[in-house]
Amino acid sequence: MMQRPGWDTAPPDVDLRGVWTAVAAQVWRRRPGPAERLAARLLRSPGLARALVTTPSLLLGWVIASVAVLAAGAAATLETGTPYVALLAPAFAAAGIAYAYGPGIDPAWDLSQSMAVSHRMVLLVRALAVFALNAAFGLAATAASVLAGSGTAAAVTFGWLIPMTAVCALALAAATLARSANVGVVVGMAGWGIAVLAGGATAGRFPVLTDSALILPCLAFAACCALIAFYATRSPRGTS
Amino acid sequence: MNIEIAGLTRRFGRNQAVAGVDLEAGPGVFGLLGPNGAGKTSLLRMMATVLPPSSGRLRLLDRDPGRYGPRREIRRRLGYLPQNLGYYPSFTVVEFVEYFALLKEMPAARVPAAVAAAVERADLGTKPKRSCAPCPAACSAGSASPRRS
Repeated sequence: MMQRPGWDTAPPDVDLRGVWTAVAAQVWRRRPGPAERLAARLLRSPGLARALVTTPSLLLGWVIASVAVLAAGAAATLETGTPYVALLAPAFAAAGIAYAYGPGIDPAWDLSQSMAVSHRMVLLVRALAVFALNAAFGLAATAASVLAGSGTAAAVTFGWLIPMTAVCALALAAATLARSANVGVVVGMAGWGIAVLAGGATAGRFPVLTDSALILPCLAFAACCALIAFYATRSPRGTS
Repeated sequence: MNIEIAGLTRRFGRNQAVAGVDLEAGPGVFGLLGPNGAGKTSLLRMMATVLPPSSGRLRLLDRDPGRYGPRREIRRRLGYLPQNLGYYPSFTVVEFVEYFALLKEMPAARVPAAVAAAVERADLGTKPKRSCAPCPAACSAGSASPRRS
C-alpha cells in the first residue's frame, strides 16, 4: 500500500501533490483485460465495455440463471415434448436484464441516468451478452445431445437461441452505428418480426421457427421484450 | 449562460412538484433553498437531465437537453450528485469513480489521472482500494469531486 507523503514537508519548488497524483494514477489504474479491450474496440466505447464486463449485479447471475433455465427447460422438454426452453429461456433472460437495471434495483440508478452513455445502450449490450451466452450453452447441449441421439437441443439452439442472438446483435449494431439505442431497439424488433413472419410464410423453412403454432406466442414475446426494455429504461414523464 | 429556465413545470400525477420556475445562472456557486416538498430535488433532477420537465423551456450550457445529441454533450460536462446516491458494494472507491468517468465518455487515456485527481481532491488517497460497501461516504465524496453543475 502506498503511503502518501506529507505535503508540508516538501520543498517549496517541488509539486509533491502533482507528482503523487501522477504516481497514484499509474498505480491505481485498472488495466482492462482482453475481453474488455475487445468489447471496447467493437462497441467503440470504453464505458460500454466496462459496463458489460463489470456489471455489478449481473455477471455471475447471467451464468447461473442461464444454466438453470436451460437445464430445467431441457429436462421438461424431454419429458413432455413441449419446447419450454424456446419459450421461456429468452423471456427469463430479457426480464432478468430489465429488472436488474432500473430504479429501485440499480443502487446508482439516478447517477447512471445522468451519464453520457445511454442506459438503453447498456441494456442492449447486456441483452446481446446474455443471448450469446445462452446460444453458446445451447451449442454445447446440442453437441452433447447429438452424441446421445436426441435432436431437442439442436432444434432449440438453431431455431431460437442463435436467431435471438442474431437479432440482439443486429439491434446493437444499428444502435452503435446510429449512436442511438432507440434506433437499435426498433431495428432489432423489426428484424425479429420480419424473421418470424417470414418463417411462418415459408412453412417452417426459415430457421427461426419450425412450428407455425409458435408464431403468435413468439410475436407476443417479442413485443413483451420491447415493452420490458422500454419500461425498464424509461424516463418518467410526469407520472412517477 | 449555463442555465436558462423559463416557465418550467413538473407534475407527478396530480401533484405539481415544480410550478413555473424562471431562472438564469452563469458561472458561480449557487444554493437552492426551500422547505420540504418545495420541489428542490425535482428542479435539480431536471437540471441534471435525469427528469424531463412536463412543460416549459430548459437550456443547459446553451444546449437543448430535450434532444439526444445535445443532451449527451451536456452530460459529458455535467457533474451530478444525487440526493440518495447508491453504491456498488463490490467496487472500490477508485473503481466506482473510474466506472462513471468512462460512462461519462471521458477519453480513456485521461481517466487514470482524472480519477487520481478526484480521489485526492476528496482526500481519499490513503484508501483508494477500499470497498464502497463499508464506507459509502468515501464514494460519495469521490464522485462529487468532478462536479461542475
